[in-house]
Formats: sequence, C-alpha cells, structure tokens
Amino acid sequence: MIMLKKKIKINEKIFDLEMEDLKGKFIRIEINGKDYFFRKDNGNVIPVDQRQLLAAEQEAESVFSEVFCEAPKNLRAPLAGMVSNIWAKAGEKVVKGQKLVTVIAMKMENEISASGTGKIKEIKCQPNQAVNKDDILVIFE
Amino acid sequence: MFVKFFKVVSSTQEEAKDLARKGGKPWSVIAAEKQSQGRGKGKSHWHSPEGNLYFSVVLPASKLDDLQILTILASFSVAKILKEDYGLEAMIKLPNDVVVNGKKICGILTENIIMSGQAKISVMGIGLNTNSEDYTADLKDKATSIKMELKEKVDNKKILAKIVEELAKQLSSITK
Repeated sequence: MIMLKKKIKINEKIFDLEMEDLKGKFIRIEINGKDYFFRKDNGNVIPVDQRQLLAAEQEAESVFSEVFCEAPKNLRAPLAGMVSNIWAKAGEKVVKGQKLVTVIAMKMENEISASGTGKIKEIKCQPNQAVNKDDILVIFE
Repeated sequence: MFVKFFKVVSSTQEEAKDLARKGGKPWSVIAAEKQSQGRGKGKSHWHSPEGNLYFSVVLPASKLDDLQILTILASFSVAKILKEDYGLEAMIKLPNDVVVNGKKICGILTENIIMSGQAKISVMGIGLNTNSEDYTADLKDKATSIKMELKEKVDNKKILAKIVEELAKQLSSITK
C-alpha cells in the first residue's frame, strides 16, 4: 500500500519520493527510482540490507517471500493417496516452501509444501484419511 | 555418476534430500555400508547393519505418475539384477519390496517434495541386504541377504552402479 508519493526539493535538487507499507512489517522507500527497505520494530525502523538478507539463504528467503510472494492457493492433493502427516495447523502463518501435509501413495512419500506465504484458515484433512487427486487439503485466508 | 560413499551415515535419504536442496545434480548418489537412523515408509525403522548396501539417488524432475511407476520399476530392476547376476529367484512384493525365498532382501522408498503440484525434489532410497551374515531372532524369518543365500561376499559398489544404470534406463523408457 502506497503511503506517500511526492516530490521534495533539497538544496535546489528535486527528489521523487515514494513510500510503501509492505504488509505492516516492512517499509519500502523509493528515491529517484532506487529502493531502500526498512523493517518496523516496536516503533523504530531498522534499515534492511537486501544483499545481506538474500545471502542469509533460508532465513532471508523466508522473510523476502513473506513480503513479495503471492499468497498460496488452496493446497490440493497432487495425487490419490493416504494422508500420513499434517505439519501445520489452522491459524498458522506459513511461508513459501514450508512443509504442510504428507500424502503416501504406492509407498511413495509426498511432502506437499506451501506455494506462497499466507495464513491457514482451515485444515481439510486428517491423518490416515484417504484423499483423491485434487481434493483440497488446506484452505488459506 | 556422482557417488558419495560413507562407511556410516545417519540416513542416506536425508543426506540425499539435503544434497538435492543444495542443487545436487540428478543421478547423484549417497551410499553407505551402515545407517544409524535408516528408515522405511512413514516412521518405520529400516534395520541397517554394517556390510549391506544403503543408497539414495537424486532423481531428475519427473511427472508424479512417472515417479510412481519408477518405484515399481526399481523393484523390478533389483529383482532382475539379483536373478541375472546372482542367480537368485527374486520375487517382487508390489510395489516396493523384493523377496528371496519368502524373506525380504530389498526395500525401496521414494520421497518427493511437491510445490504447486510439481515434484521439486525427488529422492529414491534403496536398502539392499548384500553382506549381512545373520539377523536377530525377530528378523530371522523375515529377512535375508545375498551372502546368506549364496555364501559369497558381494561387491557393493559394483551392484550399486548396476542398479543406478538400470534405473536411469527404466526412467528414460517411461518418460519418452
């Protein structure tokens, strides 16, 4: 959500400024086409170094996917089988790639992961339940 | 074929999945002669004493239907090699076990990590009892090994190469 968009003049030089709130957790400030990111922390804003975060692999990936990735679609069974494990619960916020449900089919274990970041509204399956291909396993808000 | 051979590892399957996550190429193999935490389907334990062959193969990106067929074809491949190269009357217990004289000699477990309906990572684990000489009382009537059947020691690296080669052949035949 864009919070502010205006031109400002400092020492006779004009700057195009745009400020955007990213899901309440981060702020993006664009100055003359260049992005700067900040994290909100108890009323403070802390600069976030994008390269450092990206280099921190998994953790950084989770943070960035939380901000930039699309919300996951409802999770469906990719094939018919038996639900063996459920790794998340209703109300939980999950990130892209997080393991959600395991379905066993023909002795093949299929770990089904979230396709994006979002909050789980409802788990539609339970352990030892037989599911058909395309059955909804998890509904997202 | 890239093969990382361990004397002992906790689980070849976990090592191979880790390798795949870090960009390990298809047909990379993690093998061991002993697993401290070998596992079968679900939470079941795979008894993994020293001397046998335990390995996991990073599979190329494939359709889920093809991977299901490949699990069955892997059983077929192992049974074929046991018969042709070792003269054992190996039978397949569908979809993923191989038995000799009514006792299990090999188990296969395929694991996929699926995102957006597609298998992003696929790893096939195979536990083949090659050089076990004896089993504990609870497994005596259920498990056997090539050595127990033939009284001969098996070259694990040789049989590993043969199985992986056969798997690649089978997968290419179903994905054509």
